[in-house]
Amino acid sequence: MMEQIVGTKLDYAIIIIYFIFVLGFGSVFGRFTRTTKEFFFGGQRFSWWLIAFSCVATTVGSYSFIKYSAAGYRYGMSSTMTYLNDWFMMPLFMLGWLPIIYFSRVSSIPEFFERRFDRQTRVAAVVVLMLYMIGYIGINFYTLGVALNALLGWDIFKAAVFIAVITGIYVTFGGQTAVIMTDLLQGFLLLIAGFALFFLGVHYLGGWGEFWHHLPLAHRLPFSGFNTPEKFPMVGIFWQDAMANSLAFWFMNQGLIMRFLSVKSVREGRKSATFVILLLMPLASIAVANAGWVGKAMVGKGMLPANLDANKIFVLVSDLICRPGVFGFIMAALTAAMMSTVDTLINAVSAVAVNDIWKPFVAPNRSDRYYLVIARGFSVLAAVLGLALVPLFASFKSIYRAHGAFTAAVTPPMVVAIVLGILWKRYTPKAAFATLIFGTIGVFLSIPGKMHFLLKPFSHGVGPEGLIFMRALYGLIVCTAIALIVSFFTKPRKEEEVIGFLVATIRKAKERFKGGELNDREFAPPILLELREGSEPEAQIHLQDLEKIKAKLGDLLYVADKRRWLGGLKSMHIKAGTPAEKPGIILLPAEQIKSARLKTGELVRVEKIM
Amino acid sequence: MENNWLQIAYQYLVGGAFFALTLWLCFHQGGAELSHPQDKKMLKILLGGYLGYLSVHILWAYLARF
Repeated sequence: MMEQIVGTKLDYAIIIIYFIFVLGFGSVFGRFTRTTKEFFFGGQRFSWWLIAFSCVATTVGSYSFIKYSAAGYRYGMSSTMTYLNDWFMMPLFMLGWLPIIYFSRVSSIPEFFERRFDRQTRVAAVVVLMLYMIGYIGINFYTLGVALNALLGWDIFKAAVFIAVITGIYVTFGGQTAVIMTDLLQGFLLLIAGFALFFLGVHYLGGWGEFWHHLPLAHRLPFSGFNTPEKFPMVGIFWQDAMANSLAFWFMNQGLIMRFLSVKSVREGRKSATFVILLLMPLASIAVANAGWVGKAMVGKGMLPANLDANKIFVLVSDLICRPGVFGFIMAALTAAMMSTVDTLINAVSAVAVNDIWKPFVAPNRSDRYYLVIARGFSVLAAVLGLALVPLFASFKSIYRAHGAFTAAVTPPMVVAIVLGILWKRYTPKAAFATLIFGTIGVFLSIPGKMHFLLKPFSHGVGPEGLIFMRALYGLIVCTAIALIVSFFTKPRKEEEVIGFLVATIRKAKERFKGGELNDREFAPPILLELREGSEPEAQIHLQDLEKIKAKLGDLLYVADKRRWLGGLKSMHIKAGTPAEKPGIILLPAEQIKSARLKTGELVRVEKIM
Repeated sequence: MENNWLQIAYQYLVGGAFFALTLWLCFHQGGAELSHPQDKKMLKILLGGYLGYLSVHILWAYLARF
């Protein structure tokens, strides 16, 4: 058990104020959620920067500060490896997967499996994904309980219940919009808190020179040894994190997919992903691990004893350099990291439950209002189920490990099925099903210690303890082999049946999304027009104004409140219809104005989306 | 461990192979087109990001010795 630090009254006050603020802030956005589209995808209207910050908050999970500080203390700056190796996935994500899911209006990963392959594959995907996500909610609640127990002395289960209630309330009422908005806030907070800790730590040591020169050379390098140490070998981290986990994060993470479906356009989604990986992830890698680096430098300078437990380093360094007051701020950031991961998962479970179980199998063809009620019910259920797993994870460490093994086992089959599914039209439904089922079995086979001989051909010289890292490479190869062999002996679907789900058919998916021929002219900056109420079902803009944004009649437009800082909260998509009689104005149907929360007589920003 | 050159070479060659293959497939299959200004810009950003990360890691591994 970790040493417990109970902060001052000021620290507690800061944490409580923060919780109240998040709860209020998240719940406010309930009024922006009136349809299932808004509940799950925030109405597809947000700007790239909102999504980018919320993605970082989702990525930095419940145990990141403690886990990566421990890695930073043990292995130095190579702790950043896992955060700095996602770029290899970007061509396929930005040019393939993102346009496919956006333009094909896919609402969940299992739905993609049915539309690209068949219903049987969808069911298999639902089972795997639900077990993975609900287990993951439980793990997050458990780890945050452990963290708060260690840091503040709170009871593990009570701490988990407390966070579950707060997160559950704002997700249930506010849906995706609340998740995005609170995660924006939490993303900022955890980066600021992480850097405050780093700044204070370096200052405490006597400046950058003192910090840098008291770190051993191996701790200053960006990578660990190629195949050593066994518990953190670079080649193992590369296959597990850069390849398997990055593919899983960008391609099969239902929460992240929903986040990217809530942007106003694919172009904004690409901007968002670029900003996340090129700027925010490097910053996050420093924010979560620097306590470990500072701790190691303190040991080097003789300020701390050398025989420290790495798992305590975050607590020790925070305690030493932050109290009083700032400590509460750091704890608020820690809980922010926890809540922002769980809220995304809760919303994602609800989306899969409604779109892939309730709608197709239990109660089809009901009103959207009905499905919204069901979605809210599933949000509560997801939080309760996650919470119910906490005592189980706490009682049986083997179950906790089993979920970790389960995650490692299901990741390669799912990502191989998705990647081959979008790139290879010859990939058959039977092969996809076999990849999911037999691929998972194949990876499970390698889990018991006596079966580790299966992993040895892929070891790259990594010792026995590090072989588990190489399971990702083994899994990717086994699943790809199954996919290729079964595809060879079975029949693929006709290309016209899977239009929009292959990289080769993205253009056709775009045309379907737009409902007409594409306008390939370059994008122009948005213009400001006065909003008026019109009688036509489409937007009416003067041809001169359309030319300014390089749009033509029939193009899809994005109309938003002129205040950019709202990030698209008050906005809408609409087609350009009959031209307006005079320039400088835009006429929209009254109902659309109301649902986008815009006001007539005010200026709005108008731009071409496609 | 005195340097990171093997690790950098491995990550950017093996990861780079996946990066280059998927980039080529996206353009080759018509998911993206060089004649399209937005796609051309994306290509530049993707290659720039790859080279940017590579440069930062090389520079970092070099400066770590001082």
